Amino acid sequence: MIASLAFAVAGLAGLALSLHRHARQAALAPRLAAHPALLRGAGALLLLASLLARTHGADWRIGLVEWIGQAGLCAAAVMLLLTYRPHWLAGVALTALVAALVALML
Amino acid sequence: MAWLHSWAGLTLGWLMFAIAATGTASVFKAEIGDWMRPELTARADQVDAVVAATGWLRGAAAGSPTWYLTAPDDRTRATMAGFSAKDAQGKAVYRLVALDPVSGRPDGVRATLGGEFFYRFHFELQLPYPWGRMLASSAAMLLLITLISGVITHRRIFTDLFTLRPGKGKRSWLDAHNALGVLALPFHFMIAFTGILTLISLTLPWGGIAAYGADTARFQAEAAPGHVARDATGRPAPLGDVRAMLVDARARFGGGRIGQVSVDNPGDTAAVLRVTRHDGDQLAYAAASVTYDAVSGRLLSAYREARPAQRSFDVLYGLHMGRFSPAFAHWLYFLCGLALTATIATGMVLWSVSRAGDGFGHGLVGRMTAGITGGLALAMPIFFWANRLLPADMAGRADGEVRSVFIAWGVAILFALLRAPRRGWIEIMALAGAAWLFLPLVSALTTGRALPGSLARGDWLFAGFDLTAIALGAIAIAIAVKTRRHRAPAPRRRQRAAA
Repeated sequence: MIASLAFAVAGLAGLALSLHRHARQAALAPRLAAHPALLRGAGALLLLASLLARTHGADWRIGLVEWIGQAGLCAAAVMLLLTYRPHWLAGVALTALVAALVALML
Repeated sequence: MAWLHSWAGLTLGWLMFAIAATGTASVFKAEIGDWMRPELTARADQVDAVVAATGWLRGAAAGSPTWYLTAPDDRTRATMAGFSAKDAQGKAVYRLVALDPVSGRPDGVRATLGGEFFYRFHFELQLPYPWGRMLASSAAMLLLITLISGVITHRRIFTDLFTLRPGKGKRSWLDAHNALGVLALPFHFMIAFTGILTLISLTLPWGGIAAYGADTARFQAEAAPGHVARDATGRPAPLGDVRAMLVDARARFGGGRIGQVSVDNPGDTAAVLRVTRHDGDQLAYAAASVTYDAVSGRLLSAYREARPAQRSFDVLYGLHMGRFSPAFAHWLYFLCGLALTATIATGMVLWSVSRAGDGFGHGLVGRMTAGITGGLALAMPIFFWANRLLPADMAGRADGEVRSVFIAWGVAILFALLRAPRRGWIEIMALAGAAWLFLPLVSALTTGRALPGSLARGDWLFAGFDLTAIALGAIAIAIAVKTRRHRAPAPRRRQRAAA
């Protein structure tokens, strides 16, 4: 479950940072900000990973319902970060990605 | 399309708000019921509890044509029993009683509707059948139209997905409205659509009428093939071995839990006992049921719904009920429900703020919005205050609790009508915040179970309730403070282009 949440945060942050308005807000490194398509693709992939982390298993039906709800929750977290602590977003996204990978291994 | 969104939203916006708010509370109606019956601390196995309950019902509800029992589970300790009884005037009334799971008796447990009050209000609106349900259904249909038109109106929905600009008055209300609406959009669509579906047999009955005409008996039989309907014979016969039937039913569910048990014609030779599987075991609602002859214990039918159309309906119904097992799902429903409630409220506030000072009509709408939304935010904790403060042995106490809700709501509306909209909103929100924040204190003083103790003991029912009350109170106070702090910029006068 932690992997699913962390992947969602990382993925949604990637999607947010692919937008010029938010990349500027978060003071994203110009080399990354210059490739919005890359960020969008990475974000989508991580979001898919989040979905798989929740729906692989016997009770995938309930997992699917939960994923849809939690995706909104993680999007709200990204949105609040962008509003109140924009400079933290890239760091939080990276940490979330690492945390997700660690949670997968365990 | 923007005008459609405004009109659909405003016509029944207050009602949509009330339905969303009470529906959100209903997510935890089982836990709320337990919190409102603090005397009930015993726990028992489902089968034991239902057997004990039938023992009590044999005496107390002997004349009722049907008994409805909801077995306790991991979310609630009480066995809920519904039956019809004769009141003082000899009229048949439906009574819902919470029974101790060990003794099967209601003694010592304070009379209260518990979470059922929010659940019933959510689709019946305290109005007689069928008007409440029709009105609620209309609100749900308008909500669906509002959601769809809202998405269409919001052209930059993806680029604006993460945008929130606080402290900018009208723009902040709009951002909040959009964010709350869009982030939980799948939930909003799902809950509105499935909500309409739950009442579909009432609002769109013509499919059934076209296919079955007036032959409702055949319609019922084909809709629920596992259902066994028997008329009372009038010959009395004692109830058979309920325990054996329940244990057998549980075995047939393959490790599943018992949800509801109903007994038709109890005490008669034609008594029928039906066990329905717990809703929490799967997505679909009422997925499986087992029926016995209640006198002999003989199995009459064991039914699992497998027909695709009916099962799809059951799944959609189950999605609305949201009773599936993991607690995480319940909290998601609760948070998304709060988001929907707030989306509706911010939408109406936004409409009023955009037209502040525009005349009597707009001023009235602004005042009513403050009164109705803030008023309900205040009335809901008042329900809990009444539960704690009204004496446990008071007659008509359950009605007294419900009356306090509507008195508080009514007073808030009257108050809001007398104040300027913005001031009324701030004051009522602050009062609501205080009502929520002091609720844990009132509860601790009257039950002796305070938050630090609950946390130490791992009493997550009381601790969770107190913490949620504090969080909701904090949010209400924050809204009041933020609204008060923001000073609206002086309205720009429309400048004529220099000639």
